[in-house]
Amino acid sequence: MPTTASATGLALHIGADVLTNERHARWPQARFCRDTVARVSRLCEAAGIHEQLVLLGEQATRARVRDEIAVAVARLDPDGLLVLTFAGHSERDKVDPDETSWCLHDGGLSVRAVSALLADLPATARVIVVSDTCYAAALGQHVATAATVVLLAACGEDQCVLMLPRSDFVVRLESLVLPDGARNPSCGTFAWLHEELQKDVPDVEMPRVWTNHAAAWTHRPFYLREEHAHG
Amino acid sequence: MGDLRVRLYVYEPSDVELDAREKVQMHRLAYSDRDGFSAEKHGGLLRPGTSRLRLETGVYHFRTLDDAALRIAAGGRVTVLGSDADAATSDPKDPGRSRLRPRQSERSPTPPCPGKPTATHSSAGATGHAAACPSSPSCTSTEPSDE
Repeated sequence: MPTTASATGLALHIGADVLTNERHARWPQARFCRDTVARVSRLCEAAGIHEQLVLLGEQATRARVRDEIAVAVARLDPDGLLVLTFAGHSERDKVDPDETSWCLHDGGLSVRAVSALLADLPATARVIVVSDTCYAAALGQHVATAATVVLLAACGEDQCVLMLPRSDFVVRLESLVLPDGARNPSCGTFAWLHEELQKDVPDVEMPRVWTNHAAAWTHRPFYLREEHAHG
Repeated sequence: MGDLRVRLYVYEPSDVELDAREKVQMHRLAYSDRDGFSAEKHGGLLRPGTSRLRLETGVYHFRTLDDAALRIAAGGRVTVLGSDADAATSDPKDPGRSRLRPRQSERSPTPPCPGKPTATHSSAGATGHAAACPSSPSCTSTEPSDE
């Protein structure tokens, strides 16, 4: 299979660790957000994605997040790679479990809305979403874009993560993709990453990789060029 | 069905046996005025089946997808609180639908929390919220209820 080149990439990292919504503000602070953003930023930098925008704390408002995703979608090269990270709390509607929201500084933004923003991407574009939150895999239910989306989820769509100072999921992700700051030659496909992420973790908080295009399983994680394991 | 969230208050060093059909991670909870509650892994990942753990005085927490059985094998001054995540509620009278199957009834009736200021502790101990997020069932917290 031929290797095609994707010259450019963009990254948007959201760490929602300051919440002002009346209900959300009573929750314990998600202290892992900044560490998660730093780690995924390093993965992107190693991938050659130098244009990265970070929204932390009070910057991570609903309007700003919506706007910046839309801007990234509009600016991404047709064959580019967009990395979108969310770290923070999520909540799920008790009545409609399909309705899951990221808890941002000033309120919730539904993952359905996030997915809708990605819908404008061209089919040749690629997206990696790092979802470091509760119900992390829920976003995959709503993806409706022709672009290739790979979701790296800290847990299942109906699971919760333990709020620790550092995210076990992202610490593990970085150690698998970029151990000691150098690319891991064994990390050749998202299928491999999926298997490794699920090793030696409690069943109640099971990370997973999801994609809307089966071909993406053979793509190399965090790589600007679209490489396939079986060339 | 939500996950089962269990908190153990250990008043003297004890050995417990946890019987679960899945991989489980035990965490030890600590409290500081600056950071509130924090959790750190206690021991390695527990494989499906029966695992025996030595627990020093303190507060511990684990979650499972399915029912689990807990037995105090040695020591014994241990209070166990468990609830389903989906059953978590702000009603301090409602302990939730516990799916924990205790295998021994040696429990302290009104537990003082070993690692936690008394004021906050008493509500956690009395409510039976276990480790459900205090104000939101939508996330998992290591903090007790303050309601």
